[in-house]
Amino acid sequence: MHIPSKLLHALKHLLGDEHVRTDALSLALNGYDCSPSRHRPDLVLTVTRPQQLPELLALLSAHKIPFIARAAATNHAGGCGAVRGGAVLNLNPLNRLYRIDTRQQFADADPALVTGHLQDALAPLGFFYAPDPASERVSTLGGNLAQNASGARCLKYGNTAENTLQASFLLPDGTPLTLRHDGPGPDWLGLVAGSEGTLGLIEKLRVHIQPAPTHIQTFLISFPSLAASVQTVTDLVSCGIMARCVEAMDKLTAQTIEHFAHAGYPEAEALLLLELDGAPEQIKQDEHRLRQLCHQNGSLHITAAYTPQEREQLWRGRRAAYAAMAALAPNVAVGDGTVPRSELPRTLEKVRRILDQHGVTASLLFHAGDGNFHPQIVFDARLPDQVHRVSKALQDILKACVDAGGTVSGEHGIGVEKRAVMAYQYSRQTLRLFQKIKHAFDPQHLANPEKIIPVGFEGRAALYEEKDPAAAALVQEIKRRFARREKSFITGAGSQVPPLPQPALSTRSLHRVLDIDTTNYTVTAQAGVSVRTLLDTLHAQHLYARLPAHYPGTLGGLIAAKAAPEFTGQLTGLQAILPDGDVVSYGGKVMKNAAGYNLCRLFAGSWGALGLITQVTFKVYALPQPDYTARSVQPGAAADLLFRAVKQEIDPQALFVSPTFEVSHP
Amino acid sequence: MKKTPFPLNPFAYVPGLHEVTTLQHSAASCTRCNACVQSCPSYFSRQEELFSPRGRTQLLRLILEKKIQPAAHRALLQDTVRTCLLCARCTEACAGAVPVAVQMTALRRAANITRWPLGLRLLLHLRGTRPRLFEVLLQTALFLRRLGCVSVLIPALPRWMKHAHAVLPRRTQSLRRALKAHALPTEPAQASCIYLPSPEAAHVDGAAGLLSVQWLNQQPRIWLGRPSGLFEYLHGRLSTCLRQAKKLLTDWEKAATATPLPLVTDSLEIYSFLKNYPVLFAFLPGWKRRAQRLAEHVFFITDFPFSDGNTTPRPGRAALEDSSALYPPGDVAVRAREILQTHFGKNLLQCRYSRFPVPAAGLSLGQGTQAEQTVLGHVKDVAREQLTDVYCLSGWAALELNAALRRYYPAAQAKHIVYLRAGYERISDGKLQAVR
Repeated sequence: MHIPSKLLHALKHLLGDEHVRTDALSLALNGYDCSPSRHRPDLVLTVTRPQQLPELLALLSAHKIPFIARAAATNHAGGCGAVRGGAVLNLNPLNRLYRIDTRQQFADADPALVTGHLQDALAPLGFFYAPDPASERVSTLGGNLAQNASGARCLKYGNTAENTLQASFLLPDGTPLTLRHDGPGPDWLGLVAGSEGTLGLIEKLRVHIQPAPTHIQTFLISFPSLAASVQTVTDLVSCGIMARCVEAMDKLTAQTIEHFAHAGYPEAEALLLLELDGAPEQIKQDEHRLRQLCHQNGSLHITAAYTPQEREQLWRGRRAAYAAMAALAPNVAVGDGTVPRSELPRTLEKVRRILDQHGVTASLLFHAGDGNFHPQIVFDARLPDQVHRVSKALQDILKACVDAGGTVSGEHGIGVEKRAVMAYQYSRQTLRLFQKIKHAFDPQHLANPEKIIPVGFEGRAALYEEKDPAAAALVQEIKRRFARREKSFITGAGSQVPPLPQPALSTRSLHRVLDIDTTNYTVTAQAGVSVRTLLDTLHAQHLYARLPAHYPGTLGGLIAAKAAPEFTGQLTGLQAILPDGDVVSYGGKVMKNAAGYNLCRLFAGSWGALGLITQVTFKVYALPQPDYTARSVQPGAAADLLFRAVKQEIDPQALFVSPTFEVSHP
Repeated sequence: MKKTPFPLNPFAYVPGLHEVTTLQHSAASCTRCNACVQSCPSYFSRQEELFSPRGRTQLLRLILEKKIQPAAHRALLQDTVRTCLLCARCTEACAGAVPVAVQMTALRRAANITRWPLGLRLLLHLRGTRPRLFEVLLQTALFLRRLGCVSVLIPALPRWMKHAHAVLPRRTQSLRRALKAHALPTEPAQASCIYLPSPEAAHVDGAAGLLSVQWLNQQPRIWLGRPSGLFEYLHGRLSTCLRQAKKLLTDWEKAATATPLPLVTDSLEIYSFLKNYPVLFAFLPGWKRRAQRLAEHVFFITDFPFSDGNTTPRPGRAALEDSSALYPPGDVAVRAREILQTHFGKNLLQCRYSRFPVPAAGLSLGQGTQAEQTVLGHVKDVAREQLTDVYCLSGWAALELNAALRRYYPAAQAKHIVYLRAGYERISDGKLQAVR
């Protein structure tokens, strides 16, 4: 790509001569990450002050130069490669921690602050930041948010998106925005989390910090089978015990680790490394229950660690897992897939078969709590045959995840490496919607281009067809109205929006609770179910959701009006009908999903202007959840620049009217 | 642009921290996981991939794969290779133990990158071949410097030399003169060990050398001006390095009568280098066995029990700076900490006093303008903790840190750990009177 000399001159004026590099050495060394893919950029720009960013983006945008934000570059999916060339923004110098407020429990930081350094700063204050990706000693806060990489603790403490309170965000043309979860309109912060830098650039962050638990107890438990280990975790959740983290590994992995690190891991088909935290009495109770459950599920051996030294001893093996594999061959490819917890044993067995079929050696580590697993395949990148077999094996593993109702990425993202399997996971309509979202944020396709969305998916991705008769009838109706350019407004119980003059589209026909899964602790319900009825159904089965008990409307209405922002984080899956009759589907029973844009966050607070939510999947719990009242929402999305842009892409003829949208575009 | 040759044999075997491997294999072993980057001092000051361990390994790989023409980017390449401190902290952090320091040493040799002016290189060459002449010349140079004659030359000298000038104390004394003043023989009749002084102790800080001898509590044979091959390994030819190493080995074997004599040194760098001697001789099985025998009998000064008869707790707050300019210190640091613990108790800071794992040693040589900032970072840490003493395991680290402290925070001083022997009396540079 040709870089105009005028632009170079302006960049040097803005950043300083030594921070604008065009030499082949710098370009080659900024074209890779942890994945095998390499793409050489045309420019490497080191940003030393956050104030430079808006002007820098405006300059690049004016000259139509694509850009990629890059800090630690620890991405495993090729997210940092400059596929179309352009500029790599080296954000490493932006690593300041501005403020820690322990009273209001937040910390303000630059995006390239290493997550581990934040933990180090919080530890003396008795606080911690919940997300703990395995690479936290190297990866950065901004990178973690862009990938929504959350680590093992997210089952109990929520993922990175949930632990980020606010972000200063720059659109690809340099327009500054402040994103929050509870702002008017869709949850833009939630949408940007996991977008892999394709929607813009995170300039500054405010993250949630919380008091560190004083008592932590670690257990190493061996099981005769993978199924028994996963069943124990499920039973634990059903007792209402939320483990701090549940790491697990299969026999081959445990043997490799033991051979390398001599951590004293017993020989068994499955090992669980489980941590409980809280008050001492609570831990004692939980431990008692845990031992009972382990006994029930036929555990072979339990080692408990009570002191920090003992805990360290148990963790030594798990931490050495990567090193143990790295000692076997020159290169290690780390895979990432997530399936519903109930599917874990079956999927892991299938994964082992796939690895054997392709003749590759791999360890298999998984977060048993959230169904996220990471095969670490050893190979020699200098041998093309091995590279081919590894990539084929990884692809087959991802397909196995999708077949089991899972997702191709739990925390590593899609990048360029997993783009192809996105067409396997998502329908054509959903991928089209992803494309529209990208286009709305970044009409010139400059921010980390050519990522996430597969090339030429129209010919490869399947078309989704609605099977539920009630929803199918609605699809037919919407398609009919679309053909006739008829406007409509979506209504449920009518609790939030007074009737508008346009013909109504009622979700009352979608009144079924489709699935209550007590293994994964998820519920799938149609949007027209009233929240009260839903809660009654759940209570009858001793299940609890983080829903406002006295909300008068429907589940769909609650989400679309974002009357309970806390509940948005509980959504794991969503289906919706777009104004042109396309049915899109995102997520499912998976606890982690970093594949594609988070549609749950987009439709939450969209007031029915972007589409009609037909069904949602959300988390439920075995213990009563704190009750709260739904907030009364003042529609304010109309003034939102992003909302207009996305609306323009999804519904250019403004067929789905909503109070907010009509106010701004009468 | 004129193409200059860049001989770099990918199949050349290079000795690493843990194993011997080819350059090609060691470069291919990097999985680019970036675990090394936060441990790299030069990355810490530059914040660019080009100056990170991962960047350096990838650079080597690109050169080996002929994807980059090194001759076309000589200046930047030299900058990248030169700024590596060879501290090997990245190798410690790496799951695959990729020997970046060794790779960079190979690159330095191939690119003929040397920081040392020809005159100085010749002078240092004399250290191995004509030790007495070397010492006379060096002492003359140091004397002239004290008179102010060198400052006339300073503008013509490279930037790092100016740093070195600032780091060296004004008054210097060689160990030979210090021994003479105390009537201590270098070759006692009944020696029970061999003391190999660090270059700093031998030529600049004679007090440290003398304290080391006292620390040993026995009459050691003192090997003055004997090169271990370390300098040549880092900055010169590998063949010269091997020659010097072989000579040291032979001399050590000759010195032993019935039982092998322990070889003690107060230089952390030389200690680590001698411990790694067997890797150096990986392809000479006979020499390797002899080097293994030597490595078993090499000790750091803190391996010997420390007792100066003074049991009163020392005043002030102390910390241990265990950074090394070459290999990470490992067990040595643990033992040194234990010794300090017995004398300072609670007043010894348990944690590393520095927020960042930047070794104090070699900063002013390796980093040029960045050195100042990084050294200042250390000073800030010392001031924040209100330390009075920083004990270093490396003599050069002590000199560098002390120079910075003298300038910015005189309330504290950095010194080699052997100064523990001198109690809590302050010792000004090179003055031996204060030594008890």
